[in-house]
Amino acid sequence: MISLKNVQKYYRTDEVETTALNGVNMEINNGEFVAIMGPSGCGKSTLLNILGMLDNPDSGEYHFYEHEVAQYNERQRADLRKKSIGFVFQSFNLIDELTVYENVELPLLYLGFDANYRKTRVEEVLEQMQMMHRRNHFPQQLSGGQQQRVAVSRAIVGKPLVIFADEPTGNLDSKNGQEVMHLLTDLNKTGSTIVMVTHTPEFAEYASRTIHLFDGQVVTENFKNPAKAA
Amino acid sequence: MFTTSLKTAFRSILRRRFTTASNIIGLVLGLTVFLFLMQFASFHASFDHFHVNADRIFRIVATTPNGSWNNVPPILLWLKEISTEIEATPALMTSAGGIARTKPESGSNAQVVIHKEIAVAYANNDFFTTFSFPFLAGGAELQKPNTVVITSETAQKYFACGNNYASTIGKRLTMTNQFGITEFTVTGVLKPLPEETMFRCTMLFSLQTLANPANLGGNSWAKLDRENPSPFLEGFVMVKNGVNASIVAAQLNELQRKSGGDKAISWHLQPIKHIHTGNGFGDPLPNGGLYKLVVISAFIAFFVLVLAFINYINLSTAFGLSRAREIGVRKTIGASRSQLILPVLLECFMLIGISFSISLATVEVLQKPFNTLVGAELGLRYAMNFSLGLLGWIFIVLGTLLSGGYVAMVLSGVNPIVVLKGNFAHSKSGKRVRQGLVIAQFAITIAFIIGTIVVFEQLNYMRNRDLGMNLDQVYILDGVELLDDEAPGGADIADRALAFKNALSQLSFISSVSGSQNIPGGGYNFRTEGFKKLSGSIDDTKKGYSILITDENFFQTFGMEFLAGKSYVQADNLGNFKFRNVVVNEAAALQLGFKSAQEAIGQYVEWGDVADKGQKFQIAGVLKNYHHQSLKTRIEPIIFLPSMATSYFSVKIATSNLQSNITSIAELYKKFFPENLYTAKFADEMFQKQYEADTRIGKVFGVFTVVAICIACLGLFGLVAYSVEMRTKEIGVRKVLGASDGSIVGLFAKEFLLLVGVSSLISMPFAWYLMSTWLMDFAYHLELRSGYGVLLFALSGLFAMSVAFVAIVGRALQAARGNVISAIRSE
Repeated sequence: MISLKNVQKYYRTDEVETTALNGVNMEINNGEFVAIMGPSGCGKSTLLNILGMLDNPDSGEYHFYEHEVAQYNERQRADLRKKSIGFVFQSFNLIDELTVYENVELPLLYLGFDANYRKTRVEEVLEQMQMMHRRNHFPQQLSGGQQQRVAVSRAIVGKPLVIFADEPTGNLDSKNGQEVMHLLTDLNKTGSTIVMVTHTPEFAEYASRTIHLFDGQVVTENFKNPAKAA
Repeated sequence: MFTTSLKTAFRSILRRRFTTASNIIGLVLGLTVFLFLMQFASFHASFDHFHVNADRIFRIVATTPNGSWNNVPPILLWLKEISTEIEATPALMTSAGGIARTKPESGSNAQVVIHKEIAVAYANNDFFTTFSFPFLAGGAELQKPNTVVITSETAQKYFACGNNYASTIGKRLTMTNQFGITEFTVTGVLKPLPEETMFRCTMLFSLQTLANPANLGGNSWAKLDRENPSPFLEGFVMVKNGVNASIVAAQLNELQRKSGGDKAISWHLQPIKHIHTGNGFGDPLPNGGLYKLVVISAFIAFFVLVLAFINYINLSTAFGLSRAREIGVRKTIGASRSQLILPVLLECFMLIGISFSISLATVEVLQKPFNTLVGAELGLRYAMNFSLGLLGWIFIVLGTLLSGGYVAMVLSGVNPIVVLKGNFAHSKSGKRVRQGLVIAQFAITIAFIIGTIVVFEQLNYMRNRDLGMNLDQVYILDGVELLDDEAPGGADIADRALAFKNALSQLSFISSVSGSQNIPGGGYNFRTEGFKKLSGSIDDTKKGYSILITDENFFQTFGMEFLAGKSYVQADNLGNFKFRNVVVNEAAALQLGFKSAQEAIGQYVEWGDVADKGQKFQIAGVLKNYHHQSLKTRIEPIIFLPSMATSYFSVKIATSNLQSNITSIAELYKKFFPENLYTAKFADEMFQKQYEADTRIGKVFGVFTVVAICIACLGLFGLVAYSVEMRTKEIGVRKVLGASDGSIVGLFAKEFLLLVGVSSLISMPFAWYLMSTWLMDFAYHLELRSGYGVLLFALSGLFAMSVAFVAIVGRALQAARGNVISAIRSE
């Protein structure tokens, strides 16, 4: 269970202060698939950074399950992040020097799992993502769609509570984009909570709920299942 | 975790080829120079450290208000009787050079081998119990007269003994030197002497030989008598274990006081480890004075390595963008700071490890040329040994940790939100640090450039300065040793020398012939005091004069000019070291108290108490001051004494048919002195030899400056490449708007040349201070404060700018001529 209460975030330069988030309130339940939409500069990425504990809000509350993380320092956030969150990025952000297998293994290394478990788990996820045959390839040797599949594998390998996806289809053609959306939907069906930022209404359709941001504020929320709106 | 980090580091090195190559080239250059200079510095800093008892060995040195010396009278050999703190008193007598020849057994048909030997000495047996010189065969029996210890090279040279050094034991040699002809039996063969010792002898004769008056050749000053006050020995003491040397020094001074010796003299024990370099700057005891050179080399080594590390930091952080993205990803998925630092550090260690291996190989390959450059047989072992070497290793490790650590800290400190957007490169503070480092690099480089130019200009200055004499076409023949018993006619040496000089002057191509006991660039015959003009005060006799013994043609042969009067004649030598007329130089005339050269002519000078063994003589001529020695030393007051001198024959020869003229001279010499070796050189070459060490320093400076420039330019080139990459879009936009190639190059040139300009301003005061200090070693030197000095500095700055400009232009021009469309699309 994730909740934000009256979260504010500002960006300051020498002369100008820009409000990125202006009193955002939000609740995300376990097992939900939430899409966040809005025009460029509306604060989507800032919101995802705060939700993903890459950044702290300037004011407001952020409850991540039993933790109040708004005032956590970098080390506390990092610790909680690696145990509970998986990330998928628009530009995949795989490490070029590591093979597919090593990229996927990385979160488990940081979590301190032993070699046997890592091998079993990585292979399991790669099988699931149908990337086992590419395990020894380097990212540059893969297509965009394949790279994103590896990125998704890396996001889920540590069995996180939530997966945050920042425009995961942004760098893909429509066919590969749809493939990745199917993947995320499947993950959601098996119980993963997913929060996705997207520009594309078509892909937002896959989510059970869509939150619209404008000028740093939540303007509307659409539920796929009208019963939930009550 | 470690394996993954190692793998990542390795792959990263392979992937970023340009950065890796630039990094490695810079580091290899820096490390190679560092290793060479540390060898050089360690070598000089470690002279005579290898003796097992080095910490207990001291040289006996005397100081007076007028100067210091390191010679002692033979009483030294009896010191053990006086002081129970002394374990051994090694002594050397080095004025022993002459002609050595083998003396084959009678009946043997072996050829007589004959060579001139300069680096020979007489020593007592304590020499080998004190110093650590191992033997290949036999041993030292220097307590016995007429024995000799030779080095393995000498054994080969005289006895061609192959590996059988034992076969030379018992062989006989004769030595013809100032003590006459003496026969010696070989008792031991030494291993080749280490390079780092001041004892560079090829033969060590037993000092005990001189205890027999028959072996002195009338040189009573060298009598091995405890009452003999003549200080002709270089004396050392080895104190017993745990004894403080100052106790022994106090005992020596007490002895001096009791025996009623000169109260102005004070005795010191100089640690043997301080003799070569001196104990820090301005050590008042006599020493090799190489401390400055050691410090300068160590500093250059240090700075060149700093340059290389700066390069590494600059390139690694500048090109860290892709690295930063990777680290951002790792951070996002939960890596801790230490987990991030490890791969970067590993990459740094690997790079430096690879560079270090290449440097070691490079040093191995370039060792020989380097040895030729510095004039010593050095090797890596010097950089591995001794405290200075250790300091070097600590510095390499520290540099690696600091630069690797800094890069790791910078990269691991990135904000993942920022770098995942690709913005790390635009960090202003990072840019400032890099600019600061480029300024530091160029400041060091410009200081090197200035240093090199000043050293070479000073050398030029010394070579081109009017010496007050004319050394052109003056050919100097080494004089004759004592004549052999086999000499034809049995004529007196002076008669034969005179006949030889006459024969030389008969040669049509010779315009002047002179004999002297020393020559310009060589030294003086001795220094002494006790002179005054008749009306002078007793205080005047405390002033020192240098003495040269020459015949009357000396001044003409060397093209010296008389300010007043003329040369003496042979008849002015009255025998028994008494003189009727002498010549003085201008400095001596002034020091004697004459107001002008003219005033001094015909005046009497007293030397010692005329009533008691002293004498007085008249001044026949006053010579215009000339540089008898290198421009490092001031022109000294010189008194010339007339003599039928035979140590050197100097001839002024015509330039035509030079080769055949030289051959004729050699033939004539062999005819007159068949038992002597003929060796000769041109006077100007001999004079320039005094600047050999400085020329070497100049060359070393020069080579390493070029390396420093390369490293700094490599760094600059890398940064320009990086800057071009960052500004590709800007370049594209500017070109669309009509910018010329020149204006784009100007854009980059302005940015970077400004940095080099700042570097010049920072480095020049330092360079000025350092080079002024260096020039102080020369009595006659360039004036940095003059217009010419300022010009040198300005030129150095301009030179650095031009080199930097070349480094900038290549890359910037490439960018300016690049494809506009792809440039404006780049993000």
